[in-house]
Amino acid sequence: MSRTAEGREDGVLPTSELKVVVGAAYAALKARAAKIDALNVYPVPDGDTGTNMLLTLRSVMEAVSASPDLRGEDAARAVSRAALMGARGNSGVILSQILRGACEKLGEARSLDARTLAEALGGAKERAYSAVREPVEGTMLSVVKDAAAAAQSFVDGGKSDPVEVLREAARAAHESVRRTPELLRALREAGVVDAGGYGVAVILDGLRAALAGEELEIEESDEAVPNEGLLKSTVEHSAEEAWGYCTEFVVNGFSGDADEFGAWIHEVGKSVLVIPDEDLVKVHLHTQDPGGAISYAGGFGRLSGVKVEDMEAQTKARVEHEATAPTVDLGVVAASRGAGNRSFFESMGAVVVEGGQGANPSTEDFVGAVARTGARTVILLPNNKNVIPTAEQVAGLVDVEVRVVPTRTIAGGLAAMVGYDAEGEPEEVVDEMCEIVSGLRCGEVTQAVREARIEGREVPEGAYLGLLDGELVAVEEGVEDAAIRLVERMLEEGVDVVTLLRGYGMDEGSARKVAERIRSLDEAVEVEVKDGGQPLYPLQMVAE
Amino acid sequence: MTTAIVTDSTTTLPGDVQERPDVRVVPLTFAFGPDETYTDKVDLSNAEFYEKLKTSSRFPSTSQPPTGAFVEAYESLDAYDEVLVLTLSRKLSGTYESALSAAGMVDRPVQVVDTKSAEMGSGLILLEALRVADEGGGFEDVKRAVEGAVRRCGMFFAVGTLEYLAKSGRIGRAQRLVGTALDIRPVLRLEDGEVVPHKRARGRKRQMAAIVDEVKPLIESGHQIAYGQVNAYDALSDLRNALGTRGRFVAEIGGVVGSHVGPGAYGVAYL
Repeated sequence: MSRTAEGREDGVLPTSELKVVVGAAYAALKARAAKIDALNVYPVPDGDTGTNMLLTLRSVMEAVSASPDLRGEDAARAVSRAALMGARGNSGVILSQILRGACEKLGEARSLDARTLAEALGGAKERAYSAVREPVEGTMLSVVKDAAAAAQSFVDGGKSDPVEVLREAARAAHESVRRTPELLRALREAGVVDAGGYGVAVILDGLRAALAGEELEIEESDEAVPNEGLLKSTVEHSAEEAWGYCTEFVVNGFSGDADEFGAWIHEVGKSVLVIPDEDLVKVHLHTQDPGGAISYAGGFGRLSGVKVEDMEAQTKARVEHEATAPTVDLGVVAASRGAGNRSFFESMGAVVVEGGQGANPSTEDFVGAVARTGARTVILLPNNKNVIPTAEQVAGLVDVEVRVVPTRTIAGGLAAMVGYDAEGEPEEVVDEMCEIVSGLRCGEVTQAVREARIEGREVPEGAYLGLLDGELVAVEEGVEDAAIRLVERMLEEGVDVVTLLRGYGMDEGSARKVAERIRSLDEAVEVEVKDGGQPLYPLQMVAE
Repeated sequence: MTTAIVTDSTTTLPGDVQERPDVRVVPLTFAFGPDETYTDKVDLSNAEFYEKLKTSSRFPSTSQPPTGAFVEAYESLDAYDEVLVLTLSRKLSGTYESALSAAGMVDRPVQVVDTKSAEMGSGLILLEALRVADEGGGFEDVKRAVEGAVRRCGMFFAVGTLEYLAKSGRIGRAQRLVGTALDIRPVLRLEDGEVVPHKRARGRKRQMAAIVDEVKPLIESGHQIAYGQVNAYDALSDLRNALGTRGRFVAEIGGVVGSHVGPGAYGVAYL
C-alpha cells in the first residue's frame, strides 16, 4: 500500500507519519553504517562517516518522536533543526543541509505527489551545495545532484507515481556512487567509493521502501563495498530521553558471541547503537549503570574511546545556562581529545567539548559549550578538519556572536590559544589567533589500520604514517622514524619552535628521544614535549 | 634659579651623568635572604649578580630606600635653589612614597615626580631634564619638560620567563600570561607605570620581531631610544642590528630591576 495516495489539506508532513519515514531511512543507514565507516580513503582510524550520518538522522528521529503532532512547516522546521543539532562531522553537516533543503520544499507542499518529491530532492541539492564553500564532485554532493536530476526528468517525462520517483532517484544515486572513483582520484587509488554519497543512496532506498509500505531489502549493489552479510536492524521509535549516563566505547579485537553481546547491551540500555566493523564494535547506549556495561564489554575485547556523560546533569546544566544571560565579553570553546589536552585548554580559559578524530562532537555539543562560556563573543576551535563544518553551523543557532578559528589539529588549537586574551578586544583577538594559525605547520603520526595505496605509495597495515597538514609525507615502520621524517620536512621550511603532544601508545622516553633528535638536527630550534593523551595519534606536533 | 636632580638607583645614568654635581642618586637595595643585602649597582658587578641569581637557592627581594636617605640627599644639595626628584614607577616600588615623605621633612622646596618607568626609560627622562637645565631653563621649565617626557616615554621588553615578575609581584596585568600551556616568550610594555602584556610570542625570533615591529616606526618618526639588557648580550646585539640604530645608550640593568625581570630580559625605551 502506498502512503501517499491521499493529499492532506493540513500539510503533508504530520510528524507521526514522518516518524515511520525517517525511521525507515535510519534503519537503512544503520544497516550500512559500519560499511560506510570502512569506506575511508586514508587508512587512518577516523572512518566515521556512517556513524556521523547515523547520529544526524538519529537526532531527527528523536525530534519527530518527541513532537508527534507537528505538521507542515512546523514539522519541516523541527526536522531541519534536529538534523543540524545532531550533525557531526562533514558528512553529518551536509546531510543536515540535504534534509533542510528537502524539508523546506515539503513543508510548503499541499500533497506528497511525485512533483513535490522531485522538488524536495532539488531543494536538498541546492542546500547541500551551498553548505560547502568549494563543492567537490565525486562526493555526496554529486550523488544528491544526480538523484535530484533523475527524479526531475522522470517527473517531467510524465510519470506521477511517488514511489517510482524515489525508486528512480535511488537508482540514479547508486549509479552516481559507483562513478565517484572516476571523479575523485583519491577514491580511485584507495579502491573505494565515496562514503557519504553511498550513505545518501542508502537513505533514498529506505525512504522508497517506507513510502511503498515495504520491508526494506538492502541491495548488495556495490562491489566496492566490502562483502558482509546483511545486518538486521529494527527501527527504534522511542525518543532519546535525558536518562542516565550517555556511554560510548569501542571494543577492539572483538571476540565472542556478537548476538549475545548485542542482546545484553540492548537489555541494559536505551538509545542503543551497536555497530560492528571488521574486528571492532562501536557501542553507544544510555544506561543507569555505565560501569556495568563497560566491564561487561571488557570481556569481549580491549576497550578504547570510553566516554561517559551524565545526561541528567547535562540537561539540568543546559536549562540553567539557557536561563542566564552572557556575563563576559569573550570566551573560547575547543574540541579536544585526551586528558592532558583538555587540561591545557582549560588552563588557558577554554570550555572543552570532548571529541575530535574518530568521535566528532555534534553541533549541539558546541551550542551547549557556547552557553557554558557565558560570553557575548565565543571563539570556536574545531581542532580537526572534520569538525570545522560542524563548528560553522553554530553561529546560526545561538544568540551570541560566534567566530570559528579553523584549527585542524589539537596541537594547532593549543598554539592558537597562545593568542587568546579574555580581556582583549574580540575582533583583535580573533585576528591574532587566525594569524597564528595561518603560520602553523601541523604534523600528525598515526598508524595505518589497513593496507592501502596512497598517492602512489604502498602503505602496509600497521605502518606509521606521518601527515603534514593532512598530506602524507612519511610511511615508516617505527613511530619515531615517522616523527623524524615529518620534522625534517617542517625544518626545511624554517621553523623556530616545535611542540610535541604525546598521545596513544607513545611513552615519555620515546617522545624525549624524538625531541633530542630534533635538537640535533637544528640546535636553534626550541622543542617542548607535552603529555596530551589524545587517542589514535601517538604524536601530534605543531611548528611555528 | 638653579635646579638639582635626585633620582633613585634604578634610573640608568648614561655616560658621565654620574659625575655631575647637580645629580644625586639614592640607592635601593636587594637581598638574597636576611644576611646578604647588596646596594643596587654598587656592591655587585652585573656578572656577579647574575651568577648569584643562578646559584642562590633564595629568590632575591628588593627594598626601597629609607626616607632618611632621601632627606640626606636633599640636604646635601643646598648649593642649589630647588630639587626635582625622579623616582621609578610607584606601581612597581614604594620609592616614590619614601621620596615624598622625605620632601616634607626638609626645609626647602622639593618636588617629586613619578617617572612611571625605570632604567633606560627613566634614564631618557633624566637626560631630558638635564638638557633643559643645561640650556638655562629654570625649575618650572625643567619640571614641565620632565612631565611631558613622562607622558611620552614608553618601553617594550622581552623576558626569558615570567617567573621572576610573578614571584616579585610586579607582574601587573601580565599576570594573565602566566599558566599558558605552551612555552611562550612574552613581550611586555609599561603602561602608566604598570607592566602589561603586549604580545605572547612563540620562539625567540618572534619575540624580537614583535618588539622591532613596534619600535621601528617610532624611530622613523624621530623618537630617541635607549636599550637595556639583563645578561642578554647576544639578543641585544641582534635587536640593535634589526633596529639599525645604536640608541642613546645601553643600560646594564641593575640587581633591583634585574630581580624582577629575570635573566635574559632585554628591551628598548623610547621618548
